[in-house]
Amino acid sequence: MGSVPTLELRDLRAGYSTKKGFVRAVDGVSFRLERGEFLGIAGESGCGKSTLAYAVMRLLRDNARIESGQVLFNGTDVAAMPEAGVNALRWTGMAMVFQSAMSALNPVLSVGEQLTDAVLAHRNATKAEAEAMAVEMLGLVDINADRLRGYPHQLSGGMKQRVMIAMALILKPDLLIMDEPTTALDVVVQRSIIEKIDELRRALGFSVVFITHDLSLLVEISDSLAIMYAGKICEYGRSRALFDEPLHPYTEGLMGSFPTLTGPVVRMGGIEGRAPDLLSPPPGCRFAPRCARAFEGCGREDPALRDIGGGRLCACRLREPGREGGRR
Amino acid sequence: MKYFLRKLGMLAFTLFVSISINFFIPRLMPGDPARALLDKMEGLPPEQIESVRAAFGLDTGDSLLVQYGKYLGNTLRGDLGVSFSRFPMPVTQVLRIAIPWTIGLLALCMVISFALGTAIGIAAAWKRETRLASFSVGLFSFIRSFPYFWLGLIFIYFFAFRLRLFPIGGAYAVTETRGSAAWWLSVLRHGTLPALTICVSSIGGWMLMMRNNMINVLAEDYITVALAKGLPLRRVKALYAAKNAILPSVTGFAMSLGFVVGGGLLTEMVFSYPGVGYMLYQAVNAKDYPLMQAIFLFIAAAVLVANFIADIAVMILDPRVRDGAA
Repeated sequence: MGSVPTLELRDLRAGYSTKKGFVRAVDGVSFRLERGEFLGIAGESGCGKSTLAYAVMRLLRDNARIESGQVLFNGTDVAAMPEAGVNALRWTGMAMVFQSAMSALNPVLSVGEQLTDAVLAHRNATKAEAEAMAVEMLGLVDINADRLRGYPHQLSGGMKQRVMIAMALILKPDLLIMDEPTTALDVVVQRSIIEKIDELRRALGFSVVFITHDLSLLVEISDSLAIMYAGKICEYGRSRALFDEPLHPYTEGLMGSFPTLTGPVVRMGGIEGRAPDLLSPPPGCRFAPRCARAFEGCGREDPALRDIGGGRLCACRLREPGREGGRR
Repeated sequence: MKYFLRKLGMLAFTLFVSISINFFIPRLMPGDPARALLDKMEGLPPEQIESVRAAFGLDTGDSLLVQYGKYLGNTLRGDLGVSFSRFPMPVTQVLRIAIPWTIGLLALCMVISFALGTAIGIAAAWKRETRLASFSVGLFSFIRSFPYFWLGLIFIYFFAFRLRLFPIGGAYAVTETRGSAAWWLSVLRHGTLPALTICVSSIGGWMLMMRNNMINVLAEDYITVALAKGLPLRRVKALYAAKNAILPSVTGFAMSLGFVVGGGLLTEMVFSYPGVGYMLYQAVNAKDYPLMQAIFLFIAAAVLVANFIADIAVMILDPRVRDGAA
């Protein structure tokens, strides 16, 4: 673990300037992603997880920006790089698969042109070499090579997303960021996409940051999990341990809000209330207003994300030493 | 290919319809062109009136349907009748004199202002945060609100009348030999003000249209993907943003190419420019029905052909249209 991690965030803050003020959608996020690791980031809509992904790629545009903090990619701070340096790193070092499979491909360029243009922009390759790479990548995602001459509208949603994955991996990046890549797809296709990603990760050895609001997708394939709430990570740990014993009340709530296919029939839980307005977040713990187990101190002091042993981090006063709920 | 044939069929059909309407509408109007013509010739002996009637083809006792059949046949053969006001010139020959001026001036100006306006629109959307971009939006919105003819009159007043830099009207100097270098130079000098009028008053529309399309397209996910791919910005701008944003403009452009003939009418009148629009104006004044009819037919055909060309251009640019998906 002493080596340089693929990605390390240090106290990253990012958000959007609005007329009413700065909306800090990512508020002091830190984590490490080791080589080949699969990290899942889960949270409700609006918790800042997509902003986080865009910040890592330095894709925040218009009124959005990185406020402070570091994005260390293979040890270099992407947040502090000049634009040309970031552009050289995009797709070669880190690539991204987007939420909307339907609209992520340019309707007026052929699939082949869109696959090869990144190759031609970053590598000193001929058109024929780039096309050979494209054919190989399409093969990896089980799409016939004759689709190269086709256009996006001729593909189904699942095929588009697989083309997108092939496109993201064509330059063999170290890091693949997936921003809710399966949201627009039906459940069966979701499943096949996720299995495909896992298979490719094993074959090619890249690291993955997989962002989703659906924790159930991550159960089997992620190595570690970060749960985000209102711009902060509230719990982090190895997936298995986190699933077996969630520590943060919010994680418990998230896990209670999706059904299992195999387990016993239980009443669905869900979480009361709605996520706080990030323009003026509540004082103290941001989850406290919705937390069934909040006590008098929660509304005053914001709990820090603290190490509670076993590689697990949790930001909840219930887990502080001396509390009844703390880990033994 | 199927799309192409369908559009070609559509073109043929609409042309036929407009030719037919062009036949029936004047016959539904009150008044009689034959009577109007003959009234002008009051005092002529009856046998001469008869020969005039025969010469213009006004002597038929045929039913409307037979007339229609003859008309269709003549139109297909390119025979549109004889001009009243420029007797005995056939209408097609009169038109043939006017069309090059209109095409040369109006169409060329439209192409220039479309190309320029679109290019400025692309730049203004791409760098929309800059002060220059916001200024250009204001400027072009202002310019766009000038009516053609008003701008033309202003230009004539300042550049032709006060400063005497350009001639006030006409298309060429009558004193020069046609085809000589001096004649061509005079054509350029005569064409400058009308050309400026048309370019200035139409460029704003293209600029604003392209800018708005571009801004919408720039918010699309595939633009973010293109940026995430680290593509050269030139490529993102041209092939990801502009190629998508230009599709509605191309359609709009072809439509306006057709209407240019009508819209240019005022400009041509202001500058006494001998194009189709000015000729229509003269034909109306002279109650020259065959000429009017031929000009209407020409305008209708121009709009239809331009639309057809736009459909084909969009087909080339947009693969979804090629597949008949959109």
